[in-house]
Amino acid sequence: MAWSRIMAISRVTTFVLLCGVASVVAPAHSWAQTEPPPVEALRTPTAPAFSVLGLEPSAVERPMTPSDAAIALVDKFRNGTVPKNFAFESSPYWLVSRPHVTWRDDARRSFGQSLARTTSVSLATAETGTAQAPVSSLAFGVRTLLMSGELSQSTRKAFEDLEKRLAANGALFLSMMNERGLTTLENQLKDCTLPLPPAPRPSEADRKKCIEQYEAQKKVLTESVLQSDAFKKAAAPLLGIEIVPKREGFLLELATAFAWDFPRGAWETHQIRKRAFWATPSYESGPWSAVGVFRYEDDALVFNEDAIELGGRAIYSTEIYAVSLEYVERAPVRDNPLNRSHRLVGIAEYRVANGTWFVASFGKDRQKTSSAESTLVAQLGVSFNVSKQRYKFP
Amino acid sequence: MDDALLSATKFYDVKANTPIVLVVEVGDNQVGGTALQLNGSPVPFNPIGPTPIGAPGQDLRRSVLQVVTTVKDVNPKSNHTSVTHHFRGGVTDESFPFEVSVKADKGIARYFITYILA
Repeated sequence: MAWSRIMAISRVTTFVLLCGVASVVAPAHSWAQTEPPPVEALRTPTAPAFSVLGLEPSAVERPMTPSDAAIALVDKFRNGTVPKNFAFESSPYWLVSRPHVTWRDDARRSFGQSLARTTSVSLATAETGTAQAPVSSLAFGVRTLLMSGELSQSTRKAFEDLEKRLAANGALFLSMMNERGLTTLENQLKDCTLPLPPAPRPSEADRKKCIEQYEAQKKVLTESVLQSDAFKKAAAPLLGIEIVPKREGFLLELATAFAWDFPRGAWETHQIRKRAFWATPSYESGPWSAVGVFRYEDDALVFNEDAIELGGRAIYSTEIYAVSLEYVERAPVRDNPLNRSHRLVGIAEYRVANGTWFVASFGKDRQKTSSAESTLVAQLGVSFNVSKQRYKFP
Repeated sequence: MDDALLSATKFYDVKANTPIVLVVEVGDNQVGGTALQLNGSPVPFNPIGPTPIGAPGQDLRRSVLQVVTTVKDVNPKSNHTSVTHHFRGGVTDESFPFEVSVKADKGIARYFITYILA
């Protein structure tokens, strides 16, 4: 007990010291809410097509069946022009029901299973020109996990607990059905479909009628239970349950996207606008995690800005604090006037309240313009994280 | 409270004085829990394997088995839910597949299936 108190005080002292160092060297303007770390910005995007067009669409078509997907696409593209402000995202494997994929089977995936179950495609359009020179842009992207690691022990336990709660809810439902006369209905059903000798065995048509009658009465009972205050009260907590499935071990996420411009919205005028490729390997085990990033962007509209960016971040995190070190290198390609440069930053985070973290960063930032030197990173700030997942892993 | 409710009644032919086993498969990478009742009495359910229905030597003919599987949508990539009931030990092994979609993420689907053991 005393030792844990000493450790807690020591953690706080270390954090305050780190903050103190950062505050001494921090420029005044950096006392703002901490910006997302660059490693996060380089990660594989959820929807690559939206990312290459710089979109965060408020309405995204996410069809749940093949026919929904076909209707969404045919409806938008049937006029022969690029549709305006259209955003579409779909995981083809999950468009149809997968009755034999249980969560226990999915806890570990083979290479092929990972590829099939995690591949998603995204499609987006945007108006990127001006009123005088209208340009429609269209982007297409694919994202997949080649290696999926395995479901974390905490998620397995959360799923098993949920199974028990759902089973208990089903048992309550049945007991309330019994109170309302389900067993009487069952006896009527038996007598109707399987009468005791010497009564003759009913025909198939008669048995079908018995079942229809039983189902109609069962439906009335079911509604009365589901609508009862007692059952609603008991079942309400199930609706609020939110489990974010978490996977551990080695994960490798890849994505690519291409964007084209269509001056005046005509198909014939198309020209390449941008292409990008991302790779994000990561490993997580207990409090330790590491993520690597690789991004290549070829932007046809911005002269001499093409570069490969790669790096990584190692994190040790607990419920109360986290320390991490991140490194990102930017390697210009072709005739880019920027020098090869890197960013190396240490980050310490301490939870002050649920969802609120003090963040201190210290290190060296990369060269951002051809005339500038590398800059110092020294920031103190507050970050807000309401998600259950402090660090996002695919 | 349920987003989706599926109710059905099926026949499963059993042998005289022979118990059967039931395996419930919850698909679409969703999570589900099952409650069973045989002739009005609860039957303990095994979520990770076969569940025996009836005691050794028990004659299950003219019995009614209620199977309630409640499924919570935890798969962010799909709102499909599916449940398959696999029976063994009867006249033939049989599987009964059911599926229904919930309207939105995190929804609940309830499968309320009655089996007449004939």
